[in-house]
Amino acid sequence: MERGSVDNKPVGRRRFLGTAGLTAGSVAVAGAGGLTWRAAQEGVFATGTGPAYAAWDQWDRPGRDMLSLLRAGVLAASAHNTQPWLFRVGRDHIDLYADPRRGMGSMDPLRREMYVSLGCAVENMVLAGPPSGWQPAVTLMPDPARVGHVARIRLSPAPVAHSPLYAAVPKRHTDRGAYDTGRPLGAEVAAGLRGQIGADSGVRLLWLASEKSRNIFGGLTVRATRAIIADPRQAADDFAWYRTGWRQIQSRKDGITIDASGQSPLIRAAAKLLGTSREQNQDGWLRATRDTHVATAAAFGILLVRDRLDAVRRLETGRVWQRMHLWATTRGLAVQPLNQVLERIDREHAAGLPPHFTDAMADLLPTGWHPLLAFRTGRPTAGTLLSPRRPAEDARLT
Amino acid sequence: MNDTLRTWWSTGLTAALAALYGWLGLAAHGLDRALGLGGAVLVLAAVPVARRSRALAVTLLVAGAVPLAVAAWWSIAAPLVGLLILLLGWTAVRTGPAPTAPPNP
Repeated sequence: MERGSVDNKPVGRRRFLGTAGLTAGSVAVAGAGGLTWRAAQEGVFATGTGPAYAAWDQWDRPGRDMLSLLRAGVLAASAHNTQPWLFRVGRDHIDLYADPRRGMGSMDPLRREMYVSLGCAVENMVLAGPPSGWQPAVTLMPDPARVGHVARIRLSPAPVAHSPLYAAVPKRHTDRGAYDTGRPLGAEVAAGLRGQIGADSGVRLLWLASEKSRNIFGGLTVRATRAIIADPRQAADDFAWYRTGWRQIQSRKDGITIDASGQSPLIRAAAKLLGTSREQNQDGWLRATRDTHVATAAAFGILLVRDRLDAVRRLETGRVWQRMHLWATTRGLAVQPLNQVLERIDREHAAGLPPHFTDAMADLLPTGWHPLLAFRTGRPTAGTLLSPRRPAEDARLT
Repeated sequence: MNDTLRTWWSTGLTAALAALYGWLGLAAHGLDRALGLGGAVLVLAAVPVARRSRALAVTLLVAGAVPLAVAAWWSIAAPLVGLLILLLGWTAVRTGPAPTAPPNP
């Protein structure tokens, strides 16, 4: 009996450990099941797929179809990916309207960014005309009494013709990642960007490539980001356009997503699996602005006009910006709008706040010119991912 | 818990993990989808194969679990499920019935 009891002890211990191990394993498998369910629900493995991204595949269909212009139009850049456009297709023209439901509230109280975004859509549609066999003729703000009717594009049949900028339409994405600080930009980049400005657009590019000017504008941008986060109304209106859930992205098909944030795959997966609160989102935004967007920019650019409230100049600025972004894409350059300072300036004007950013920015600008859009540029260090888009049919008025 | 129950338990957990790998594969696209679905099949095949050859069963477990775990390391889910497959699958293979010797002629 004594021998038997001694022999049984290791066996009992082994069985106990085996049972405990399998119990722990069962708990681990249950946890893995939850993680797998979450990964499948939140699209961890489905980046850039689903109805929210279908517009990127549908944009270029053969044949003379006016809808081709709409499909290119919806792939245009827009502030916070708000896509504030509506289209009505006529017999020989397309009308473009502003969608006031897609404003950014206190982030864009003067509708500056909305009209710039609409100008981007106009330019993409104009570029899509010749490849589809149409010669476009644009009238901006055709009816001054109707501020929501921003453009009429008349179309007449023309020989099919392609352009490099048109070919870049589906490749153009905002690059929110780090840029290569070891490869500065040559003077030809500023010249190439300026080459996209039409002579009669009334737009001017302020190029900030020196270390001193970059430090001044970069510092202002970080301060403006902090000011937006500290402003409850602006912070709420800004966060309203962040899409944090896969189902929300697929149903809304707009807004800023974690996939397009320029973060690493691991951070993106963690954010999808764990979710992000507004505070986490804002902390990440401030950190990215300070440590990545500003710190790795090879140069900043600011598009200026004489009259910042003139709707036509705003639309022209959008057209210029779209061409610049497409041109940069053809050259393998990365660009990202960086408008926090301008958003604070608009906020100061609209809410009657002390003009801290208005005055600080005025020191950077030539006399008599006003900023409508600011951006950073540089050489990319990684690829960009798609942002969601409403298909043309969703933005078409019947 | 007796050995038989323990074997069935670890085998069942391994099969459940193989199903999770297949689910990840279904949720993925391209190469990740192929690695997830193929990996699930290999892991499921390892359980009956263990009765004939434990070495082959372990090979199937590794071949099924590692590729997706490596290719999708960033996903958190794939490497975690892959690691559990190796741990619990190895337990199932080790504690299962010993491989049967071929009958004498």
